[in-house]
Amino acid sequence: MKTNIRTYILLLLTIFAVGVSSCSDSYMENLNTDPSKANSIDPNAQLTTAELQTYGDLGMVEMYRNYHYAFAQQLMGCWNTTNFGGRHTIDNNEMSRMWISFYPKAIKNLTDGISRSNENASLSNVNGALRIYRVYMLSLMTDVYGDAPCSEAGLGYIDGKFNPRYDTQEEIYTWFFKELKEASIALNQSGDKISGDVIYKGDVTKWKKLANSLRLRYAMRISDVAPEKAKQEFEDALSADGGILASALDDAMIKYMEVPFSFGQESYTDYRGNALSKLLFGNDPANNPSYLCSTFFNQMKNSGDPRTYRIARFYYDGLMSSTSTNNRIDLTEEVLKKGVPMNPRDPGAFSWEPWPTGYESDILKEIALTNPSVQTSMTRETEPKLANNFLKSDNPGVVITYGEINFLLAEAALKGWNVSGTVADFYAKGVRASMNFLADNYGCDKITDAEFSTFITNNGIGYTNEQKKAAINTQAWILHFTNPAESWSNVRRSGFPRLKSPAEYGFAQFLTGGADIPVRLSYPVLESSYNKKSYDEALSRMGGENSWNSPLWWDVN
Amino acid sequence: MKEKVISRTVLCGAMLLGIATMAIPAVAFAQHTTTQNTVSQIKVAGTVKDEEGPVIGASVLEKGSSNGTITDVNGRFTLNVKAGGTLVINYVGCKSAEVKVLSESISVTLKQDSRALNEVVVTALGIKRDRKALGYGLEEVKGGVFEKAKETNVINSLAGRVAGLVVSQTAGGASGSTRVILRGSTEMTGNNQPLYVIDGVPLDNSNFGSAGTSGGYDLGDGISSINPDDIESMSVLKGPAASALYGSRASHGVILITTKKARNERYSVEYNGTLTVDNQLSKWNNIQQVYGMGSNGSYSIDAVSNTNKSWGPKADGGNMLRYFDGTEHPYLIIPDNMSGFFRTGLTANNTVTVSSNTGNTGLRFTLSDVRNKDIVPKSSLSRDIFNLRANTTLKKVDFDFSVNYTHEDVQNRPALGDSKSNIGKNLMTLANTYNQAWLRTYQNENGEYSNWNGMDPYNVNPYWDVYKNSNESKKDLFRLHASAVWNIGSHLKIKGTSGAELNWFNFQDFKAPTTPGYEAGYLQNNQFQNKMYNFELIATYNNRWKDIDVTGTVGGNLYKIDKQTSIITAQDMQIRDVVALMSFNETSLQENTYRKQINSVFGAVNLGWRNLVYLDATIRGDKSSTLPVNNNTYVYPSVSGSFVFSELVKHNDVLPYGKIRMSWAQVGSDTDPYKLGLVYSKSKFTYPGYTIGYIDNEVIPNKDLKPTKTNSFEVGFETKFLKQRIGLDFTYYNQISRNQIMGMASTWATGYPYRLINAGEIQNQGIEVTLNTRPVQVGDFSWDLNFNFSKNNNKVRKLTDNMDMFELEKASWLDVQVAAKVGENFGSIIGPDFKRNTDGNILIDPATGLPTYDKSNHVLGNASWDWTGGINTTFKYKNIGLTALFDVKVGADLYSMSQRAAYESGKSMATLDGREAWYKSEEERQAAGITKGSALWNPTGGFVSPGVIDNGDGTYRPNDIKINPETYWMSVSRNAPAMFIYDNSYVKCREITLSYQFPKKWFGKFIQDMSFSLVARNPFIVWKSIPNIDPDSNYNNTTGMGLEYGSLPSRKSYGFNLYVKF
Repeated sequence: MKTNIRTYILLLLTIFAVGVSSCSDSYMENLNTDPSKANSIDPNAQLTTAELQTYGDLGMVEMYRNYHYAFAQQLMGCWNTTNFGGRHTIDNNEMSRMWISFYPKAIKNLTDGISRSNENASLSNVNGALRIYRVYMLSLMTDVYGDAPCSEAGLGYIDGKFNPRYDTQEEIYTWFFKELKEASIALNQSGDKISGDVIYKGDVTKWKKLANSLRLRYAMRISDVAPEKAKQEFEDALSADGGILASALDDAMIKYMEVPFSFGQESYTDYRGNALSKLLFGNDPANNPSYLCSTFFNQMKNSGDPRTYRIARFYYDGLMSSTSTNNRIDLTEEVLKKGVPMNPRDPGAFSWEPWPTGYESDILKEIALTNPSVQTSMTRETEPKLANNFLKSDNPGVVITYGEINFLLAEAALKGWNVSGTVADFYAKGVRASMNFLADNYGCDKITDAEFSTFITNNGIGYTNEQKKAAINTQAWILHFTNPAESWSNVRRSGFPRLKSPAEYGFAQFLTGGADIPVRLSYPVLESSYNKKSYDEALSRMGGENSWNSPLWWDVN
Repeated sequence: MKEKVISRTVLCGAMLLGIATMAIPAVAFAQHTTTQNTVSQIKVAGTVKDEEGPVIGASVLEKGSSNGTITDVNGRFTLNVKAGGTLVINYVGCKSAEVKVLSESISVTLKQDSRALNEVVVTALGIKRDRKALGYGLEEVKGGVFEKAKETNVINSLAGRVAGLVVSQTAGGASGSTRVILRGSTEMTGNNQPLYVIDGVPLDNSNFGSAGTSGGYDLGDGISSINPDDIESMSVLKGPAASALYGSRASHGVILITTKKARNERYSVEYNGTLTVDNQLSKWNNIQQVYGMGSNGSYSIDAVSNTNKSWGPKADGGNMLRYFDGTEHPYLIIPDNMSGFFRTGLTANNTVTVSSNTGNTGLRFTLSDVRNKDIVPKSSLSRDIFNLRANTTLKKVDFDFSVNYTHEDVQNRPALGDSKSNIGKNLMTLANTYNQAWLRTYQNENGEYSNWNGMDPYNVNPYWDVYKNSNESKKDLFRLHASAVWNIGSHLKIKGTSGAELNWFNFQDFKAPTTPGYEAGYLQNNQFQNKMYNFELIATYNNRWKDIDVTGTVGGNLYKIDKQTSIITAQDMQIRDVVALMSFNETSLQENTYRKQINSVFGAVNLGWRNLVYLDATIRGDKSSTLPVNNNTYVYPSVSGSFVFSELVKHNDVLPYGKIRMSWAQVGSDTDPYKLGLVYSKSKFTYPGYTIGYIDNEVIPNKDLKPTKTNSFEVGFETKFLKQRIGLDFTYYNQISRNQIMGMASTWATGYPYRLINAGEIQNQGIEVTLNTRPVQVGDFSWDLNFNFSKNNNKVRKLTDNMDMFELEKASWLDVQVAAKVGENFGSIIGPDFKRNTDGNILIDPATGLPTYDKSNHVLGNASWDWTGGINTTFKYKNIGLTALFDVKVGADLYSMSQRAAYESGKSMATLDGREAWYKSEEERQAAGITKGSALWNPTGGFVSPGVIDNGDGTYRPNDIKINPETYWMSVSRNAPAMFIYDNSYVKCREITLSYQFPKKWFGKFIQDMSFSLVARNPFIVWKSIPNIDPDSNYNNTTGMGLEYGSLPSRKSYGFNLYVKF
């Protein structure tokens, strides 16, 4: 009996043990493989993601509205713009937006795509495009934060770089030039098709132009801190194979599509639409539209710029749809005809503070006959708002344009660098291209040759080098209105237009982050815990403080 | 192949179950033919004594009948009984005695009840053991305590009952989930929830969806589908030594639930019903009642802006304001405004149990129906649980089967946290002159959202959210269990258990077009399909040689889980009159899976010597599919022992029971699946002609992962004395987890916000004390008073190189985190603070008159409890019983974003300071014709921020700059979270039950037992220090500590319970 029992038990246990352990390694590994995900993906798909994220990430572009547009004094009055940037309010969460958005998505994927297409002849073109685009994305980062992880960024998995070093901005720029040059050379028209490109639809010749043109931009960026290097790179890029953007047809513009308007959770992962345009429409549009800053509006208005009422309009929004600009009532003609005082917001002012003077609108009186709910006395409606043309989800995302190239060449000529052309010529070409840019890309009314020549006659480039530099960069500032990253960078780099602190407009008592206009954004505070050594090192180069008043390396003006 | 085996086993179990079910009635009828003899009655007179003398109030009952009496003051009784019958005598604290009636005079001496000394408890693997043999702490809660004052989620009833067990709920209400933490958090990034084991089969308690940082819904948990009436007992295994045999999943403790089998009666039907009325427990009633809607002391120009600010002029009723819908209302304070939104809830919980037992076969069927109408309008829950259990013995084999089917339907779960639809959040800041009822006109004639506040997406009209938007969840859950015990001889048995859980869960969330934030409309359909299988085989050998008692156990376990989720999201609603996917222009699909398997073998040896010394050792080896194949097997042991020193002093009435115990254990643990390598996916959104593809991982994968190991050490002391009227249990434990697998935060610059590593060291060290007393016992009256106390020190000792903290949860827009910080207790509240001088005074900026802030990270508080406890008391007099349960929690901090909002919106009492003077000063300035902000004007009154101004020469002067109090509070509420960190301590009454047991002689034969109770759950908060909100409030149900925002009022319920047995 006893042996019997033992046999039974042994048998049972053996069966069980076999059953349990029979799960082979391959079975276990297979079980630990996610059947709903892929082990590999075409690097082109990662290029698409990175390109679209640039202006398509609703969380990221919030930073532009909160700080960039306010510091560059182009928008003012909307709660977000005034509260954060306009009143120098330090908000760690708002300042971290680009850092925490681009590194874990665009830069990670670009780096991964590059690593998987390196030394693969059948992917050499997409490899080149990925490299060029990574430089562009990293330039956005360094121009906001200064020293930042670049050479070791996005390598957490590939190289186990858990504590990436903050490269100095000087190193970063040096690396940009090298990387752009090499990537451009590697591009080959008979090579693979760059199928994931929503900028140039994979046109290799244009990618070469883009790489060379970005070198012009970066060379100019460092022209005051490293003039020799700047000159050399600039001239080298000009003569590089493939050339630079030669017309508006070469403009590097990310193509976005029309997506349903929403600010729900879903829309934060949907990169298909131009999120910046959507955000400037306002997530609570009836109460939070984008108002123009007096600095920007008056510059255009006072110079008789034909773009003034193409960019700025006066609207009554009481009947506007919450998902589009439908039923917005345009009062611009009335305001102009009646000579109503315009009330663009000074730096630091909210749309409601100070409360503007207004007027009685005939247009609305007419509407009130059939719709008694509308108001007829206009108040905040006399504050210029951003025109509907700039509030569409399918607005393009600007990387670099022919207009900018001309301004870069103009300034290079001014510096006496080896460019073939005159300062005034490049300047005029730049202005003309900037004006065309609005019609070509935003559906604004075309600016006629007459309008242009009147403007250019009345707004010459000036006589002194200082005047010329001011004219070029003020025009660049207007051009860069839809490219807030470049707009703020170029204002800081060139020092033009000269901007006054909101303190000088009577808002000193609200400037909790100091009276000086900030010149960078602070690193995310958690970096002091998550990447302590590298962070402390970077801070020590800035005087130990993660301050937004410490100028970047290239910012010596 | 494996799947085949599984399905076959399940099928066999189900078939056997069917056979058993059919067999029972036949047996029942067969036995129904016994006849009764008529026997003559005799009158018996007797006395009942115990060791000390006559016993008053002992019950004397004729066995097998309801004929009985009780003893008088001299311990005497008389009773007419059948000759040859048996009397059963019961008295509290004594062993029940049975006496055969042989003469008319009987004397009985009761023996002291030593049952408590030989208390049998359910331990790991469902093995019943003598409590004194255990070398670790274990607390058992009898099912009876859950049956009267019912919770919709039974686990909530544990609050305050067990030392070291902390229960927290979200404000999600009846349908929400519950978070249970035993002895603190042992894992920094895991969920730290205990494993629930029901009759030997682990339960899948995963949340389908949690309200995270950005809000969302609490979609409930698995444990809520357990019917309280089915619970025989719950054993709480707190330390790893107790739970070591359950392996990985038990590293946060185990709650073993033993369900009821058929009663030991031929046939019985029971009904148990509870009906309660639910109302708000906490109210927003600590707010200023002076100033109304507006800003800067003036009305809103259009009553559409500043709707959520009470910074206006005094609400004297002198004015009428015109609101968004054209109606006009006087400008008056609305007292208790928020309460008007909520309704009276109702919860009905009805259970019918049919049980039959014939010889070797028992059958028990329960049907439980729960209906809840929440205090939030339109929000309701219905849940039906069918449970069938059959057990039978065929020769040497005992079979036990159960099938459980739960159907749950929840309408309109309230949104939580930062969610734009959180009605609590949106109501609490509404200006105190703005009657919430005016928002009932939430839509215009086209059915579109009425613009009541300038389309502010962060303050959506709560009526719109409740009446226009909707969400619904449906759950169908099957839980199958089959076990067979083969008793081979008297020393050996083999037990096989198989369990399966199949869960279909569907959640649909709809946002009507024009909802701020979802302007184009939105519909999301989440489908979850979870399957879990568990197989176990155990052989147990038990024998005794002289003084030595030996038990040996070996076994194996196979556990497999397979979850599939698909999420369909639809946007841009074009057809507005039907809520269906086809009404939307764009739909997208996302799929996720979660699969894992753990194979285990384990063994245990239990030795006992002379009932004096016990020694246990266990070992378990797991092989988990989630770990790298070369590192996926891990083995871990436990050793425990106890010394029952009271055995040395025989018949000592002073100390009848005393024991010391000690244990050491290690528990290994794995991780979630798919963490070892990169995977790619594409966006669910379609961009024609292109693929938006990317790396799917948010956590850096780790090919070299090793299993986590947690070591714990525990000593304890148990005693019972004063005739067992006092029982004391004391435990000290020290538990350290090192190199645990965790998703450690990582700098974004790596490309990943997290990385999976073996790192860190977290310690839980503490004591637990349970004290059970019976202070009074006189005649029929007894008073029990039980206390439990637990102090846990949950220290973060190490993270990884160069890292001193990482974020667990955040309130990102306020820059506040709850974090694990080295050297601090787990759950540090971290954020910016004031800039201070060396004396600690706040530095005031002379330009603004506002405090200055240091935006780097500071520890502002800690969210761990210093200690927790419970008091449970019962009074009994004859058939009347009164019990009350109190829950005490002390010492945790809470960053209350709700309170912060009360200050920012000018509703808090403290915001009255300086208002009148400032508004007067402003009038004077205007009268003087000086523009705002001009340096020419010196305010004559206002608020002076507490703090000092730097003179620039190392000295400081007290701040004297008068500013607008609104400016001050707006500034600090945005920048100084320390101002809104509250001591979250509280004493809550969890339960009161007053019950009456109807005397048996009142009923005929038809009714056997009946009781009626008045019940209350969470009737009142005895003490709290945070105003307006319930201190149990949470931001979400994930980490659930340290943060709170927009909490809905918690609920209190009063009602009655009726129990009838036929």
